[in-house]
Amino acid sequence: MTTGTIKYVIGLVSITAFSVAYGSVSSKSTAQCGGLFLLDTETAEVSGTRCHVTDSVSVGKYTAFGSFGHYRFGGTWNDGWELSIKSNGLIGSAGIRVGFKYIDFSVDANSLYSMTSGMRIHKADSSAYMGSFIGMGHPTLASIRWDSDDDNSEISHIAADWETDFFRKGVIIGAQFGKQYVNAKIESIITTPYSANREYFVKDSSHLAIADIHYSFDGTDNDIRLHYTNVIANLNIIGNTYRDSSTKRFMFVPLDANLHLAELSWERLHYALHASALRANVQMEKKDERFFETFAPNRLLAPSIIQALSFTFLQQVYRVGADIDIFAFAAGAKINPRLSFAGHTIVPSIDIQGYYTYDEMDVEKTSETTRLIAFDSRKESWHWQLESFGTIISLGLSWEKSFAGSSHTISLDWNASQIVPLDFDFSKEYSDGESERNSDKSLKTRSGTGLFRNGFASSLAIRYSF
Amino acid sequence: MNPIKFASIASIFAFACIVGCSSDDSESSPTNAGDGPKQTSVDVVSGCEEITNEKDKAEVQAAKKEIVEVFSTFGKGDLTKAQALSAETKETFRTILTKYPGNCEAQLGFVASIISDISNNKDINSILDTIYKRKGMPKSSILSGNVEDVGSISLNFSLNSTEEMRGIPVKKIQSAIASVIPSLDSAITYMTNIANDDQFSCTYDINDRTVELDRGEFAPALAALFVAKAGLTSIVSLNFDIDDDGNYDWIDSLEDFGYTFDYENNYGIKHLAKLVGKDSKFTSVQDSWKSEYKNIPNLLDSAITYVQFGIQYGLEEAKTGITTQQNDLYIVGNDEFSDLSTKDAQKIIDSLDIIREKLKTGFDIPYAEGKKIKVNFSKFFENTDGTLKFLPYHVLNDNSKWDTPDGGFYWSDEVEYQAYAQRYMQRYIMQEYHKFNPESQPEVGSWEDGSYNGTIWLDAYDPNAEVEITYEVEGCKVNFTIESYLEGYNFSYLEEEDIVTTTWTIPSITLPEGMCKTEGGKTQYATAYIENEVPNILYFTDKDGNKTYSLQDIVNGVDDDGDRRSYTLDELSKIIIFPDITFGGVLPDMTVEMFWNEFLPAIIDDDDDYSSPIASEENWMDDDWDY
Repeated sequence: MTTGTIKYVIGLVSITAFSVAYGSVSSKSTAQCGGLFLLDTETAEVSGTRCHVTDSVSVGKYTAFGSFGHYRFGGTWNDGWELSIKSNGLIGSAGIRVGFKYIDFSVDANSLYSMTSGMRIHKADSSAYMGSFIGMGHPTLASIRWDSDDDNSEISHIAADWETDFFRKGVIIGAQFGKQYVNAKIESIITTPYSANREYFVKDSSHLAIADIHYSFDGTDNDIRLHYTNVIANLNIIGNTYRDSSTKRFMFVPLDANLHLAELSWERLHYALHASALRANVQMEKKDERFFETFAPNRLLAPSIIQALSFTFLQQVYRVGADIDIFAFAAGAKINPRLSFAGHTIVPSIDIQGYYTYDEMDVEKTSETTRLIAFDSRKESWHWQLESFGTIISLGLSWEKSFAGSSHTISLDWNASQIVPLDFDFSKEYSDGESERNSDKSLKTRSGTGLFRNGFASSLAIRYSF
Repeated sequence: MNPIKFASIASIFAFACIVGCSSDDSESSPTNAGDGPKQTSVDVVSGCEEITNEKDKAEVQAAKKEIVEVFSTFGKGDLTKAQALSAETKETFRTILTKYPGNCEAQLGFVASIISDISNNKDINSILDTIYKRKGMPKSSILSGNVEDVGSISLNFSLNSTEEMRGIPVKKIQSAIASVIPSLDSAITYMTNIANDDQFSCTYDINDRTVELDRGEFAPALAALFVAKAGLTSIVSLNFDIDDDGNYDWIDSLEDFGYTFDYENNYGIKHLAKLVGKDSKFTSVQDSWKSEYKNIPNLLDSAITYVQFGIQYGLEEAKTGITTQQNDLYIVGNDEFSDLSTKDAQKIIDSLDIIREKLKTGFDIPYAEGKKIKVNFSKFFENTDGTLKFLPYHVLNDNSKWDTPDGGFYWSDEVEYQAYAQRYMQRYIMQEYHKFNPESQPEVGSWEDGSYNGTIWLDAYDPNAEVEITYEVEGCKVNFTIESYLEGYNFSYLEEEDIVTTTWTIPSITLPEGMCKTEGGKTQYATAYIENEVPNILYFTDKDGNKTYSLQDIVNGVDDDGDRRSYTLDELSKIIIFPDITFGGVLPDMTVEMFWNEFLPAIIDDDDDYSSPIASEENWMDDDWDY
């Protein structure tokens, strides 16, 4: 589940746009929907869904392709206020690819205001190729909304869009040796801050480097697949106000993330074994410099006499540092007997995986108050630790209908997964710098609590080809 | 501007001064609020003088570090440590000032010492200590630096005060507060000199950061001192003597009044009558503080000027970029690495100009949908005679007359439901029960009336009892019989098996003359047309003192073709006459017509009877059925 979430978030811009260009199948239509729901309705909620329809037509050297999709990702967090982050939209994408004997060109554009063009050089039989691509765009990554429970507070509502200007470039290289395929991709995405003319807005200055390697062996009865991805991200997320032609900064969140994902699978006709591992580290550096505070509410206040006086008499800033470590491993087996009759093929599947995860998060918050020359600093720290193992059970059903005397096929895939934790050890510690570290391990014996209790994912796809 | 928030910031400063000023100095010796303000004389050399001696320079630098520590300790609520540090630091600055009276750095340090010197005002600390001890709270909690804490403390004062305030007259608190005003004056004098020198700045090392204070901070700080002085002056000037020589028991006795309705003997009612009585000085300004009180608008004007002064300085600095502002508490500029934009700074200066003007001419305050009224706050401070003089012309009756009906009634041959005798009997029964069982809280649940007899059900709580009492009237004499007396833990479940034998008896009484009269062998009873609950507290007069109508007249309405209806607002405007409908110019545009025809209808709830010209007996009873 965690893996999927991270992939989904990171992939919003890159994978959605790119997979159509390089991964779609000619003369085929697909409609697919999927959803992920992590719910702990009291304090937090995370959910995401995505639907997309793709279609492509090949005529001679030319392939035209298009897709239309809707995605939605949402998360909320309640703590005397509600912070919600939503990202949703309709993405229309269209492109064209021209394949010559030794070189292919492609270009596609989507409604997120991004455009990607690519070039691929290959041998005549396509057994080896290399290519490069560049792209740029201006998407709205998310809408962030903060609502105070107290309507009478000085600021009770903030709504900001996170827009960015990105430039991406990358190279791909691939080869085929008999039944073995290998391809690798290295991609770099750089964003430059985009200042919107709205009262509140979020911008970022980020650099993401993505390395992706695939290996597969397509045997007669055996398929082996290996996949490894490494994402190194440096994000500086900035919250601003814009009033009367003046921009002021009230939030600064610098994040350094490093993610490793490895997947291995061995598939036979009616069963498969697979394993995947994820290791991720996210660090948020606590900055001491002025204007690099995590949160500076004085600058968020509307311009007023009270705001001007508050800088002198009651200035508060918060500086937060965080270190998050995530490790997850899952391995399991899938059985998918194939039943065929009268042109129908039905493949029910059951996939049982064992998982283990160990995650830690440390957060340190310093609240500073300055009143003229009176200074007070209060440090608080939290430590969360989660260790759990259990199973992920997935049920699936695939149905395919071939039409006699025609190459047309129609197929339907449905899949649903549920996390069933067998052991769940969650502990949290709090310290305010004065009192003893306060531990709360009351959740230790409760299995299946919080996010995991309701972890659920499902997807449905319809494909039609001719 | 949010006036509430502004006030809270101002009050922080004011509060800091209350607890922070010294009393061992000549400029801060205790002053009795009743004796009037003490004049302060501080010699300040205009401009800022440099220190030439290296040793003295080093001493000032060391003292500056300490003053930062004092303020931070103060903010954290460590009273004792701040106390010790402050006394030491203040002495250092005093010594430097003796040698260099014009040195602004030492002046600033001395001002900071005055504000943070929380140890020496014995009067205030002794009061606070007493109150906190009674509350069972550590005294440092008031100094936590948390704005909300300060708010909750003052709220607690007003909510649970009678026991905690025992033996502490309001005058004593005012005197203690008054004793810090001379210190505040000294601080204002030094600070004015500092803020007027645009070349002077001072740096402090605070938590690995260098903070530079210049006019951008000094001027708002001076403004806060002016606001603090305005606040403290208004607190000590007004007569708020609600206590009876340090005694607050009258507030508690008002609670008893709810169980007895004993108009004549209740301490609380007597004291309240004294507070609002004819010769009361309550809410008036004490003679010795009148000129200081009238000067409050000027203090607020100065505060506004210096806030503008500080922001204007920031604007001037912004013209050369942020170089000179790097270490300021706030940076004025137009890019992302600044706190306040130049446009906003200018807007604030302009809006302060408007506020200054409005303070003199009045603010338009909305009071109903689409309606505004001009309120001139400065006029508050021109009136030193208190607010009682603005009440409508009236005469408060002596409480011995409260049981003598005056208007709005007729004489009946029977003791009807709205006979004043009914309320009189009920009050009498409650008083008798309260004597029998002082712990219990009695109230009349209901009653039934016959021509000359009836039943009264008395409910009592903690301990619970339900008593059925019958009465019989013989002329003006009333005899009572206790028919049943039930006791139990749960009042709702009292049943017949809970009947107990009681020793309580109710002696007969004679109805007062005003309620009952016997002429030619025939007895009659005063009966209210609509409502018999309101006692004869007062009557209204015209400006010459001629009686218009009594309160009882007004609540019992006017005859309208045999029916009774409420007085219309137009009719009331001729009965209830205000000596000055502008309330001393606070509402300069208010007229009698506007008050009765527009203002009052707009602020009266739509459901009120005034919206209906006909008020039946049932209407009145529905509204006031809360014996």
